[in-house]
Amino acid sequence: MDKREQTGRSGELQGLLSELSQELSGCSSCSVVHLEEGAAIATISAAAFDASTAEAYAAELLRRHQRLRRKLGTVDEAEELVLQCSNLCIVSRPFEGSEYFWMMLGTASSNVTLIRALMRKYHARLEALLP
Amino acid sequence: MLNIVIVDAEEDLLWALSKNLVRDLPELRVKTASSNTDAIDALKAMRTDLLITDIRVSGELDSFNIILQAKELAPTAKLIVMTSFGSEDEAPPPSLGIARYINKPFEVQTLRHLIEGVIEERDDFAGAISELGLADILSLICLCKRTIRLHLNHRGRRGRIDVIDGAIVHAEFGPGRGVEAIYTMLGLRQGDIFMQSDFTTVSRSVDRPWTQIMGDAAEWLSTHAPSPDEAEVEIPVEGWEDESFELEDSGAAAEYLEESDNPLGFSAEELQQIAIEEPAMAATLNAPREETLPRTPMLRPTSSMGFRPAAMMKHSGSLSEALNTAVRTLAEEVPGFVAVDIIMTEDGSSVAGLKADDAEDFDQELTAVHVGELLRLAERASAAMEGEFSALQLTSRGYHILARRMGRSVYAQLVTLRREGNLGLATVLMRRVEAPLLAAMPS
Repeated sequence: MDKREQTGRSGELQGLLSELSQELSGCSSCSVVHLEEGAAIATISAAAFDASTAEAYAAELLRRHQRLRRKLGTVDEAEELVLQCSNLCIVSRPFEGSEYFWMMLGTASSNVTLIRALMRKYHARLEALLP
Repeated sequence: MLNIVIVDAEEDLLWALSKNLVRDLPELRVKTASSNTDAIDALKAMRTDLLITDIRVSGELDSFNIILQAKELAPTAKLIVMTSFGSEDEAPPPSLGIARYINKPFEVQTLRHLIEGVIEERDDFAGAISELGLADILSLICLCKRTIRLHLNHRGRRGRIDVIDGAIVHAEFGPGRGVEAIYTMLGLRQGDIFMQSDFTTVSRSVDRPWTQIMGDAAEWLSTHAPSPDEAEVEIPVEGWEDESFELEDSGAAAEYLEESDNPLGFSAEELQQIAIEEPAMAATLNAPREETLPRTPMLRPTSSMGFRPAAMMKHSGSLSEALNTAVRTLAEEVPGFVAVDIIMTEDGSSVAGLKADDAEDFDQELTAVHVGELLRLAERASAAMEGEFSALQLTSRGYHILARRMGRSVYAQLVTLRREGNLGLATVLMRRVEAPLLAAMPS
C-alpha cells in the first residue's frame, strides 16, 4: 500500500467513525486502537474529551483476557468486552486475527445494547479499512 | 561458543566469575547483569545457552521474574540457580526439574563442572528453560519466599498448592491432600500451571519444609509414579450438601413470558431491557419446547474444594439462605444458564455457586479466577477514569459472562450463560438478587 492509499484509508476510517458516533447520542468517543500499544490509530471524540486513558485500559483488559485464556485454557477469545462504571461505559470489539480492536465510549446512561448493536453493524466495514 | 548470562546483585562476584570462567574455558562468552533491566537486555542481546542467576530478590533484582521472562527470551537456555542456604546442614534440594542448584559460597571449580555439563550436553543437564515445570516453579517460589497459589490442570483434574512466604502450607489434587498430592502433581508430565498471587488460604495440610518434600518426592515417585494412561478421576464434592433439586416445572424462562407475560413481576423498564437486550429472545420463544428447556442445575459447590463458604455459612443462617436463594433464582430463571458464582473480588474465590448439569466442559473454578483478575483490573481502570466500577461483560464464541460488583462490598456476582441465552434477563435478575444478598451479608 503506497502512502497516498494509506492516507486515504486513514481518512475513510476517521469518516466511518464519525458517521458511527453520530448515530449514538451521548457517544463520548469512538476509536480504533492498537492492542499491544494501547494507543489509537483513529479517534473521534466529543469536544474536550480525552479518550486516551479509556483506550489504554480497554487494551489492557483485552490483553489480560488473552493472557489468562492462554494460561488457564478457560474462556474463548473475546468477541466483545463491556466495562460499565458509574460515569461511563466502554464497549470493545477485537478484530479477529488483527492487532487492532475498536471501542465506543458512552456515558453511564447510554444504552449499552444499542452500542453493541451499532458496533455489530459497523464492524465489517471498519475491519475492511484496517491498515 | 557457549553464551552465558550471569545475574547477581553482587558486582564483585560477577566480575570474579566472568574473569575466572573465561580464563579456564575460552569457549565461553559471558555477559553479566546486576539488575532486572540489565539481565533482560543481556538475554535480548545474544542467543543465550545458559542462564546462571542468584535466586535472592534484592533491590533492582528479581530473579524469579527474570527466569520467567527467560522462558520467552531464551527458551533453549539451561538454568543454574545460585542459592544461599544458611548453614552447611542445609543444602539445595535435589532437582526434579530442569534447573540445577549451586549453594553460595562455592568454588569456581564447582560452577565450572556444572557448565561443562552443559557444554558436554550431559544427560543430567538435558532440560531447557522452555521446559520449566511444576518442580522448578515450586522450588523457585519457595526459594524466593513468595506467597503464591499454584493451580494445576491436568487432563481435567485440578490441583493447587498454596505457598506462603516460601513455605508450602497446603496442597490438593483430586481426592488427595497434603504431601502426597504434591508428589502426585510432581509426577505428572503434562498440565497447565497458573499462578495466583492474591488469595486467602483456609486449609493447612502440609507442615514439612519444602526442601524435605522435594527430597522425598523422588523416592516416592519411584514407586508411585502415575501411569500415563491413568483414567481421569471425578473430583469429589466436599463440604456441601449434595442436594439436587428439580425445577417445579420444566421452567423455561421463555415460558414465563409466553404463558403469563410477566409472572416475575418485572417493571416496564426491566421488560424493555429484557426485550431490547436480546434480539435472540424472539427466536427462543418460537423454538420447539424441548430446545428452550433450561438445563436442570444440581446444587453443588463450585469445584473449589474445602473452600470458604462452608465455614462462612455455618456462621450465618440468613446469609446461607440468601446465597442459596440468589444462586437458585439465577440458575432457574436465566435461559441458557451455565453457571453462577458469588465470588470474592479480591481473589476470584467462590463463596457459593451452581453449575448446570450439562456444562461439564465449563471450568467454573478457573473461570472465576480468570474473571476475578479482570475485575480487579476493571476496578483500577474505573478509578483511573474517575468512576466506580459496576459491571463487566465478556462475550466469547460460546458464552456470555457477566460480572457485577455487589454495591461496595467485596463480593461480585458472576453469571455465565450460553450465547443463545437471554443477556437482558440475566442482567435484570442479577440486579434483583443483589439487594437481599447485600442485606444478609456482614457489614
